[in-house]
This record gives sequence, structure tokens and C-alpha cells, in this order.
Amino acid sequence: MIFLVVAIYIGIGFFGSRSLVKKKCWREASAFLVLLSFGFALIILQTLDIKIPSPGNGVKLFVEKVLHLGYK
Amino acid sequence: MKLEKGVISSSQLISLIGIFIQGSIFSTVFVFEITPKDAWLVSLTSLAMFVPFAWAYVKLMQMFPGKNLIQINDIVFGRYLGKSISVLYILFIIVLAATNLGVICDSIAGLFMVETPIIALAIMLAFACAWAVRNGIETIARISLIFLTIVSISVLLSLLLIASKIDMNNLLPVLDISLIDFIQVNHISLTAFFGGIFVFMMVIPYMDNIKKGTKSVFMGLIIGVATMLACSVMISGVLGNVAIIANSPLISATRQVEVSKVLTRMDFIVVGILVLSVFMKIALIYYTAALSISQLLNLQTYKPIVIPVGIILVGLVIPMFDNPTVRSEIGMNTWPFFASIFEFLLPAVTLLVALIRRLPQKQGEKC
Repeated sequence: MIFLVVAIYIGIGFFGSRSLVKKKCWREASAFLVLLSFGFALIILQTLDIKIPSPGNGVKLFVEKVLHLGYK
Repeated sequence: MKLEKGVISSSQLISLIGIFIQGSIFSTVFVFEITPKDAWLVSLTSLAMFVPFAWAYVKLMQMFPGKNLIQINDIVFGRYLGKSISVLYILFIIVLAATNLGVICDSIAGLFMVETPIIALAIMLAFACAWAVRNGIETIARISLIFLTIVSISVLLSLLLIASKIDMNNLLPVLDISLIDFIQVNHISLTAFFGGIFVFMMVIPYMDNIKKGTKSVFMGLIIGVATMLACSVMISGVLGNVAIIANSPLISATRQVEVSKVLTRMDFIVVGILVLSVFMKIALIYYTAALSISQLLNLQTYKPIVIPVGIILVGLVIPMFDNPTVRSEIGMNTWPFFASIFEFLLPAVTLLVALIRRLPQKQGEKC
């Protein structure tokens, strides 16, 4: 499974950045690769069964422990 | 440089806002858990509460014509604070998109496609949305009119088919809930159904005539609320207090349709509503996420980052909430406060600071 994810990442990364590099749109190419790497890092971690901190629980902690708000 | 070359008309903005609110129909489950009898009333009271905020969004857009939310943050708060606020907005928009994507995939997987992994549904829906987003706001706006018509007709059709099973006594007594519950349910309704409209602060600058913005926003809101009102009456009238325990009240209500023992199990109509309206809602939030990131990074176009943003959304679907119970608990108790920061507090503060600093006039004087 992990090899499939990595292969898809390389494929999207190569075909997506190729035209940007040809046009010398370096800023766009960097943004594309950084965001793509972040997205695939999320997916690879889940493929490896590594638990990612839940943003939903982050929201809950922020509202309840920092803002001291919440119903019930 | 403008990131989006497309232009939308005022009627297209109406249909975009209408379908965006229709995309929230499935969040009514939170409202029914608290008050199954007064859900119809909550649609109206929360709309009334939302009107000043909708006016504030449009006023901001009209004060800075052609500028989107990220650009306005830079102008109003300065380069560094403005960019910091924009980063928070972007994180919130991504969380909002991933939450909506997760909710729809979870609903489909839980009710109809029980053997299908949620991630597979998320990838398919995100791919369809990415396609729409890459084609630009003009394309999204054009399909929104078609989808708005289909969803509105489907809701009307469901209402007609189930009319004989609606017991208006299920809607009585009116306001038989505590004040705190009424406040909570209105707060949920405000943030889950209407507050998301703030993403249109990235879309309104691309209107051909921004002066018609106020009228379009309010027309769109009325269409969206009319649909929600019809659904609320249908659910409350058919299910009564059973709506509290229904996983998806609208689907449970339409399953009761039985016309001459021929037309039964009409829940496919609801699934149609679900898929079309939520697709449009996610596509719009996804579009604003891609556009906001591009604006923040000062890119020439948003198109290269559409696919990476989609992959981030898919990657966040599973870890977003531990399970549907936690999601429901967060959605009812803490999410309204969190969403209020971005949907109401920050836009109101931005408008206030812009008015105090007399920013548009100041900029005009400088030129």
C-alpha cells in the first residue's frame, strides 16, 4: 500500500510540477510541492497506522480549556 | 494581479448562496437532537440573527471593491497581523472543508454503502470537487443554478409525496424548550447553516456588479432558508420526537413515503439532494481554500495548488474526528464557539477597524 501511495505522489509531483518548472514559475512550483508533500505525509502516516492528532479534538481543547466556553 | 479571471453575475451569486445553504440541510441533525418541534422556527430566528453579519460581509466587499478577504486583511490590519489573521482563516477554511467532506462520506458509508471505506468515497468526491474548482468560479456558478433547481424541485416533490403523513400537531407546542437550549440551537444553526457564507468574501469580488451584492446575498439566503424550512416542517411533522434519535432525520422522514404501495422507499431523492448540494458546498469551500492560499503566497494562479489542497482535505477526513459520536458532541457543544470567531467576530472586527481608520477614503486620498 505504501508503495502505491509513494508512486502516486511521485507521479502527481512530476506531472504537476513539470509545466511549472518549464514556465519558470518557481514560486508556484514550490507551493505545489510543499503542499503536496504535506498532503501525502498525512496519507502516508495513516497508511502506516500512525495516529495523527485529531484537529476536532484540538478545536474542543481550544474552546474548552483556553476560551473556557462550551455548552454543557 | 487577479487570481481568478472569471466573472459571475448577481443571479449566479444568488444560486451559489442558495445551494451553499441547501448543502447544510444535513447538519439539521444537531438541531433535531435538541428541539424536534421548533426546528422550523430556529431556521427563521437564526436567519434574522444572521442578517447583520451578512450585511457586514457585503459592506466590507463594497468598501474594498475587487479585493478579497486576504487582501482586505492586509489593508486593514497591516502586513504582518493581516497575514497572521489570513493564515488562521485558511486553517479554518481547510478544517471546514474536511469536516463537510467527512460528514457526507460518513453519511453515505453509514446509510447506503456500508462496505465502502470512507476514504474511497472521500477521494472520489474530492476528485469531482477538484475538477470543478480547477474550472474556476464561472463554471461552479453555472452548475450551481442547475443544481439549485434540481435540489429545490426534489425537496418540493418530497414534501408533496409525504404531505399526507405530516401531522402538524407534532410541531406543537411552540417554544417548549429552555432559554439556554434555544440559544444553543440558534447558535448551532447560525454557525452550521449560515456562518459558512463568510467564504463568499473570496467570491463576491468577482461579481460583475458588486452594487447588487446585498440583494443577491439576501435572495440566496431566502432561497436556502425556504428549503430548510420545508425540510424542517417535513421532518418534524412526519417523525415528531423520533427525530431526536434519527441518524439522518431527512432520510428517515422520506422513507415513510408510501403512495398507493407503488411509490415507496423514496430516500433516493434525499441522497440526490445530499450529493448535489454537499458537492457544491464542498467545491465552494475548497475553491476559497485554494484561492486564499494562492493570495497569501502571492501566486500568479491558484490552479497548480488545487490538487495538493484536495489531497490535504482527503488526508484530514479520517483524523478530523475520532468517531461520529465525538463529532456530534463537538458539533453541538464547542464548534459553534470556534466557528463564531471566524464567521462573525473577525469579519465584524475587520469592518469596525476599517470604519474607524476610514480606510477606503484614506487610500483614495493617497492616490
